[in-house]
Amino acid sequence: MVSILHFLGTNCQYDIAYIYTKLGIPNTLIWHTENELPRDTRLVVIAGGFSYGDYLRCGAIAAQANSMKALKRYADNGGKVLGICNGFQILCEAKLLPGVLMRNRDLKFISKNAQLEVLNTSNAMLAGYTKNEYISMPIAHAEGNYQIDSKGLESLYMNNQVLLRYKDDVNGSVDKIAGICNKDSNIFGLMPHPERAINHKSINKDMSDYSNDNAMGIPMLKTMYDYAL
Amino acid sequence: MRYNITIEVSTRNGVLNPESKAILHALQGHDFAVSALTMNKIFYLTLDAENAKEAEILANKMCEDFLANPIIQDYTINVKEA
Repeated sequence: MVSILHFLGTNCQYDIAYIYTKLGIPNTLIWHTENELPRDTRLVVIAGGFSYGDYLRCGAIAAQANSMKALKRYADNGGKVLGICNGFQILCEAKLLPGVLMRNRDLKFISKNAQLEVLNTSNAMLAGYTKNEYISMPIAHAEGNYQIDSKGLESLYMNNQVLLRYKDDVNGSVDKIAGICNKDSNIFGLMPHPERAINHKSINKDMSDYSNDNAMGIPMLKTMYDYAL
Repeated sequence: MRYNITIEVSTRNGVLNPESKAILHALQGHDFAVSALTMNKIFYLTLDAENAKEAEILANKMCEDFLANPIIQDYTINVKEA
């Protein structure tokens, strides 16, 4: 079971449910008031969007929700968690991932396809890709500028926690970081949207495109579920 | 005892606050001779506590847990009897 956390203002939950359903993986939406996750949860996805209108700081209010307390207990026991976009911001605010996501350097909301470099494939998020390969995935954020102090950055590299990097410096992130994980490699966060990179004819019958260019999100969503820690 | 608490949250020195920068540029664009600008957030709270010390401890905890992000922000707390 994939438990998809959503809050007031989340808007990507149905896209994630759609692709997991197409992949034949059972999934359910978890409202912020829930105190427990389903017992058969094998993966928690925190969907993107604008939880609580990004009030206070993006992700800060959602980080306090009941469902996040349940998620913390689940992750403490080694459960796998994937935070996408606002989900990544929420994980940082909940202190489950190090660092912070600030306003994009150029103050603009950026919505476009980004080229991402895969840095490390021995983890649940990137096991389906090749090391140093470039994959294309949509980004859509105003606050994706990842920042961490120099000590924290050093520690991220020492523990192989830097997983994805933008090919170009799109938003000012330190070292062009787009995605990271925690030390134990069970909590993952990234700004790009894998659930928006799923347009392959095998999934979307209306597509005429057989190429894999628009489907690079699928391996990530698959291995996040299948990969045994 | 009832206390009025003021909490000011600021972006830490050396961390870019893009909102402040955008407002500064806008003012300069309107020909105001402004050379620097900082925009902070102020929270006004009222709460009951045994004494001022306890009120301050509570406010401090609120900042650490929620109102400020200690990675990029600083905060100051001012406690006054209501």
